[in-house]
Parts: sequence; C-alpha cells; structure tokens
Amino acid sequence: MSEERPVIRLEHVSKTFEGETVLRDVCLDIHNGEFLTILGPSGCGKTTLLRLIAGFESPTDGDVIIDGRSMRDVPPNGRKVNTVFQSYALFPHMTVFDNVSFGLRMSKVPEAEIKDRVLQALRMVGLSGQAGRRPGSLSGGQQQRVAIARAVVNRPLVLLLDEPLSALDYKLRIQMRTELKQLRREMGITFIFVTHDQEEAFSMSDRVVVMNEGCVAQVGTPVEVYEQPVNMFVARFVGETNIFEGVAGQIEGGTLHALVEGRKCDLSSRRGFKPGDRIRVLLRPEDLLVEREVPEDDEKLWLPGLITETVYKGSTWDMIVRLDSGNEVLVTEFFDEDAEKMNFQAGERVFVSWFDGWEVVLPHEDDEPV
Amino acid sequence: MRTTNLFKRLSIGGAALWLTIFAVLPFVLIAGTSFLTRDEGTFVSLRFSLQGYAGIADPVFVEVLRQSLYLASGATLLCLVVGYPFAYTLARWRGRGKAVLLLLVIIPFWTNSLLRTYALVFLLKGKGLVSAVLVWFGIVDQPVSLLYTELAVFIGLVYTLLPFMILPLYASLEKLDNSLLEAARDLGANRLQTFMRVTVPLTMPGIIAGSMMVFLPALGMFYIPDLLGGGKHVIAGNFIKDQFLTARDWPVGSAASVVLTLLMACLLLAYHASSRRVHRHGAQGFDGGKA
Amino acid sequence: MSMLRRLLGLLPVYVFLYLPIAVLITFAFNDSKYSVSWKGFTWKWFGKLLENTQLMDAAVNSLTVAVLSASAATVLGVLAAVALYRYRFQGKRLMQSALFVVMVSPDIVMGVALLVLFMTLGLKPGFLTLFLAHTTFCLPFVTVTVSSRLAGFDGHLLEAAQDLGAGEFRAFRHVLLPMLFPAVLAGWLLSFTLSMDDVIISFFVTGPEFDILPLRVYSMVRLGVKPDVNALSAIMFGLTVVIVFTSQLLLRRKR
Repeated sequence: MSEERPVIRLEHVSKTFEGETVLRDVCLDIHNGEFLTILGPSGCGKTTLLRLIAGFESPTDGDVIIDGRSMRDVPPNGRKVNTVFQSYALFPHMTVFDNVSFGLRMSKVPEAEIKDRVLQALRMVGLSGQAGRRPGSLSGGQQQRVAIARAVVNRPLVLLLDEPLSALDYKLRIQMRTELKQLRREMGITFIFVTHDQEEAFSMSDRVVVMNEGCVAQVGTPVEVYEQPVNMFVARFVGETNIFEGVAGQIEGGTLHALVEGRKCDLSSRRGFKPGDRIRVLLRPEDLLVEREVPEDDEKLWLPGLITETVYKGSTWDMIVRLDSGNEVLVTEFFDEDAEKMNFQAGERVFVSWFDGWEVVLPHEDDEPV
Repeated sequence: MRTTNLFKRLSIGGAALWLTIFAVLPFVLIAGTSFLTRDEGTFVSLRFSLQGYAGIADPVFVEVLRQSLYLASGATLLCLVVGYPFAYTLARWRGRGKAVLLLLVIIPFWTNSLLRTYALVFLLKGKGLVSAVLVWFGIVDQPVSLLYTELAVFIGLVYTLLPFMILPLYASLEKLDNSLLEAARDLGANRLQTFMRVTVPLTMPGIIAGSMMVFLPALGMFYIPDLLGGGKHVIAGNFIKDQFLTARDWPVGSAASVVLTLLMACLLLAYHASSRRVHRHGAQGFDGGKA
Repeated sequence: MSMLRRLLGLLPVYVFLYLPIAVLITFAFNDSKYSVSWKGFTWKWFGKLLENTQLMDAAVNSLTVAVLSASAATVLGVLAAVALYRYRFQGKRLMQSALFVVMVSPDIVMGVALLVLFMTLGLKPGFLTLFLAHTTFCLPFVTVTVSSRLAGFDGHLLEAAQDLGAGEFRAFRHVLLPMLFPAVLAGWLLSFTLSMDDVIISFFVTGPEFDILPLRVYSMVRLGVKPDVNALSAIMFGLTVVIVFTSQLLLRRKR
C-alpha cells in the first residue's frame, strides 16, 4: 500500500482565518480506495480540512496534492473530487434527475450517456422511481441519497462526506452506515468522511484520523486508535477511559516497574520512561476486572474500593467503583449467565485489577486537567 | 479560470462603476458646488467661496428651515403616535388575514404619492367631502375649505408618509420575541413597565428607521405644501428647488442640500447605534450578505 | 371577540389610508365636473383622458422610461446583490454604503445632485438623463429585494454547484438565478412602480421636450381638480394594486 502513490497528499497544510489558526502543519497521505474518517470535536478543523481538499478554501501554507497534481489555484470545479454536504445542498428548483445530472451537464457529457449514468446512480442509492420529484418532497433519508448519487455520478477520485448523517434520526443513521460501506466497496473509490461521532467513525472506516485543535493527533485503524491511543486527548475523546496516576521506575525489557496509585506494579510499555517520570495508566472499562476477594497466588495489583453505583445497560452491566485512593473508575462487565459476580451490589467492597498487558501507559501531560 | 474572473469582475465592476458615477460623484459634486461662487452664465464659477453657506445663514432660509423642521417633526411625531399602536396590533395579530392586513399597508406605500396628495385636495377642497360632512353634522354652517391651511399640510404629510413609518415599525415589532415580554411580566413588570422597558428599547431601531423614512422626505416633498398649503408654507424642498430652478443660485441650493444630507447622516448614526445595542453584534442597517 | 376589537383598532388607519383614494376613484365615474354630489355613472372621463394627447404622450414616455430603467436597475441590482453575497472585495463596504445612501437620501437631494452631475457632464435634460436617474434610484431596491432572498439560501448550494464542475458564471446562471427569479421579478416590478411614481427627482432631471406623467399631472392639478386626472388616478391605482400584489406573491413563494 505504501508503495502506491497516495490519491491525496496534504503537505504541511496550515490555514489561518483572520489571525486565528484553524489548521496547523497537517501532513497526511490518503490511499486509493480507502475509507478514511476524520474524527474530532467541533472546532478541531476537520471540516476546514475537507473544504481545503474540495477547494472551497485555499491553504495559508502548504499544498494539497490530488492524484499527483498540486491543487494550488485550482478551483472546486477543476478538481476530481465531489462533496456530499451536511445540509445536502440539493438545488430546490430542480428535479432529482436534474440535480443528479448537474455535474455531467457541466462537464458536457453527451445527453444519452447522462441519462444512463443518472438512472444507474439513482438505482445504486435505491431511488429509481423518484427521478421526477423535487428535493422538497423527499424525506431526509431520500435527500441524503440524492446528494450521494449527485456526487458519485461524476465518478470522482475521492468522495468527500461532511457529517452527512448528522441530520438523520438514529435508526436511519445506523442503516446508512452499512449502505455507505457497501457503496464504497461497489465503487472502489476513496471516501473521506468527517464526523464527531466515534462510533460512526469506527463502524465504517479503514483508517481514522483523530484531530484536535487544528492538528492531527493520531492516524490509525479503529482498533489501533481505540486500543493504543497516543495521548490523553485521543484516549478521552475515543470512548470511556479510566486513568490511574503513577510514577515510573526502572525498565527491564518490555516491563516497566512503576508505582500505580501509590502501589508497586509491573506494566508493559514500549515507551521510554526515565525513573521518576510521572505517568498515567489508561484502561477501558471493559478491560477492568472486579473481584470480591483477591485471588490466591495472584501477583497482579489489586486495588481495593467500594461500589458506589451499578447501571444495567442491557448487554452490559456497568459499575462505578470508588477506589480507596479516591479515584473513581467505571467498569463494564459483559453478561455471563453463569458468573455469580453479576450480582454485585452498590455498597459492596471489591478489588479492581485488569488483564495483563491491556494497559496503555502515557506520560503525564501537565497541562491536562485531571 | 478566465470566465471565473470575468463574471466576478463584471458583477462587481458593473455595479461599482454605476454607483460611482451616479451615486458617489453627484454627492461629491454637490458638496463641491456648495463651496463655489455663483455665476450668471455658467451657474457656478470655479472660485472657492462660502457664499453658499452665507446664503443659508440668511434669515430667509433660517425661517424656511425652522418651518420645515416644525412641519417635518410634527408629521413624524403624528405618524409615530398613530403608527406604533397600529404596527403593534398588526405584528401581534394571531389568526388569519394577517397577510392581507399587511398588504393593505404595503399598497399605499407603493401608490403614487402625487396622486394620493391629489386625492386629499379632492377631499379637503371647499366643495369637497370633508366640508360636506362638517356641514351635515352642523359643525360649520357654510362649506369650508381646509385646503391651503397648515392643518392640510400636516394631513398631507401624515397621509403620504404613514406607511413609511408603519412598515419599519412592523418589521421590528414582528421580530420581537414574545417570551421576552412574558419574562418581563413574570419578573413583576406591569403592562406599562414592560412596554417602556422592554418593547420600546427593543424596537428602537424600527422607531428610528421609521422616523427617518418620514422625517427626511417630509423635508423635501415640495409638492405637498405646494398643492395643500397653497404656497404659503415653504419647506426646505421648495427652497432648494427654487434655488436651482428659479433663483439659479446653485451654491446656496447645494449648501442647503449638504445641510439636509448631514441631518440624514446624524439620523443614520442614531439608527446604527440603536440597532447595535439591540442586536449586540452591530447589525447592518443594509446588508447584502455576510462575507 | 378580542380579534374583532383589535380589528376595530386597526380600522381608523385603514379608513384614513383608503378613503381619499376611494373617493377619488368613485368620482372618476361621476357625471359631474366639480360637484361632490353624485350625478350618475359615466365612463366619459376615461374617454376624455384618451383624447388628452399631452397626457397620453407623457404616459407613453413614462412607461418607456419605467420599463427601460427598471430593466437596467434589475440587471445592475442583481449583479450587485450577487457580488455582495458571494465575493470579498475591496470597497465592498463602500458599495454597501453607496446603495444605502441612495436608498435613504431625500429625493430632493438626489434630484439636485443628479442635476449638477448631468450639467457637469454636459448631458441635455431629457430621456437619457431620466433613464440614468431612474435606474440609479431603483437599483438599491432591487439589491435589497434580491439580497434578502439570498440571505435565506443555504450557503452550500453554490459550493455544491462548483463542486459539480460549474464555474462562477454557470453557477450563477443555473443555480442562483433560477432560485432568485421571484425576487428578481419582484424587484423589477417594484422598480417599475418607483419609476412611474417619482416626481421630485424627475422634476430636476427632465427637460421641457420630454414630459412624463407625474410631472404633467403635477402641473395640471396645481390649477385645481380635473376629472380626467381622477380617471387616470383610478387606472394607476389599479395598476399599483396588481403590481404590489404580484410582487408580494412572488416574494412569499418558497421562502
């Protein structure tokens, strides 16, 4: 994959709006045919990044390269990318057919071919019978499909999707995720999808770009981003996280001897820490173990605490445990019909630990509020 | 790429060129003329002088201006007193027919004001309808003509300009969030207090815009005092008209126009200040679009 | 109950606004030259109106000027509105201010300012000066009408057009213009009305050989009541009602 020329390459792209930096030195290669999601909180610059690729904005610094060509001074209508807008931006004075055929007409495709391609695109998004209708008379989901058909009918190299599902209701959103994935597989083109919803990002993408304050925080597969967050921001933004404070000791091989919550503990980490460095140990709620008593002959660190609340969630059972150190952690247990520990009650004293090696160790970031 | 720039240049350039020649330049010329010297043959000669301003400092013009301001501000006040409750009721109208009621205000707004003034002549003249009604009610014994009185001029100004007061007032009252009024009542304000402390301040841009749209034309509509006042009541408009077309004293006429324009500028500043206060982010009175 | 009371509150103003016009129109059909009393229905004043060649010539002149200047103002006004909506450019604030000043300036000031301009340029007062003046004072009204419709648009529509390969002009031609059409037409109609109505500015910029309706009427009614002017008023009022009604319908559509 890395041998191949990236379909889009962002080279040190920065963007400033009236003195305010929205994007800072972003470098990113987007591979041909991948489903890439740009994930981040609102104001992180993800939509600006998309608009730079589409050509609605031009970078203050750096360059956007599409298919090997610099896009400097190339207007949106000169780029082989198409956008599905958050608001769909369907032309209200045109029928569905005219909307979808707009791009083909602009590039002077012969009329007969236009008809075939438009009808094919509409069939692909399941709107065969709706060609003569106006956007205003369609449901939100149908408008969404028209917007997608209007973009893909032009056979762009890359399809840009700017939070396209945010206006749909929950059920439709879930359904559209599957459909978008299928669509990409059928078409074989690159999708760049912008969202602030990590579940949406994970369920569709080959790779996720997590952004924060105009910078790329992490690029990786959903599993990498979830299991191995590179910093506190990513860890916090992507799913629930429990944090244990600690201090690093000696490193032997892949094992870091450390103090966690004031107690000795061996951690696995490939990062280099110096003895005395403050560290944080991150664990997902489902990585934590809870027992009423410390199992015999177990050398793991078991932190004592008190269950303060239990929450039944259907497929899982969540517990909030206040450790004796004062730290509160969230534990998620998946149902196991036979296990008696399902019967934990608020007020019980328990011990909390985690599966060996599932922890992520990060340096303590001083500027982060605890 | 080339058509891109062409269309952009054409749309900006076309409008900009026209406005420069026919909107900016005339005002510059008027301002310039007001500082030149009168000349019998060519209207003005290119010599700097303050004759124009000396001309309007003349007691004759001061008297005209005084009378003009009196008529215009009187008409503005009358329009406000009549127009505000009307616009308020219309804006709060719940139920059907609102569009029609509004349309009935918009139609006079666009109807030829000369014809409307003429209609008043028809009504107020000696053998007109008003006189006939007054006689019929026994208020007067003989047919009277209200024409060529100060009252007639006031009626004329108010009649012609009332829609210009009502529409901006309506626009700002319409935007008024009802929950603000409810909040004021909830916090213990009575009707009058709510009105004075919430409604009026929030509709101040509308009040000023409406006043401006009545006051400024009222200074200039020379045909109203002409037709209804019988030439006895001279307003600034008549004065300027005469300076240009009869007396042929352009510097004086220009100086008077400059004074009117400055008056307009003051009102505009007041409008901006008040709408900025209401909309916090400095709303534009006229805004083509956001960047 | 309270609605009726409110309607009664509004009524005096409506009576005030419409009674004079109603009386005027009624007497356009009265078979008596001066009297207030009703002498029977007649069409004869309309016939008189048609025979009044001076008035008819002025009407033709007025219509010509109104149609041409409304069209010119519409083209320029739409371009200005679109430019202000789409582009950032130097002097944008200045353009907005100029439009605003033209709109709120007292007619008398506009009139003399244009008079001075035309004299300076050496233009003879007549058709051309009228056309230029009327186009100028109609322009901002078109811009405002179109701008307020533009303000309600989804900003992404134009981007979508560009994204799909349309350049600036084609995005305007295929997307903006069709969507703006009602506002453009309304702007034209309002300009036409403004042009037909104007007395003060025309007073300064036209010459004796090019007479227009409002000025002809002005010089006629200064000397008293004329029944054929009543007939003319009835026609013009009817025209205004139709135009205002149409333009309001256009502006209300699909907001």
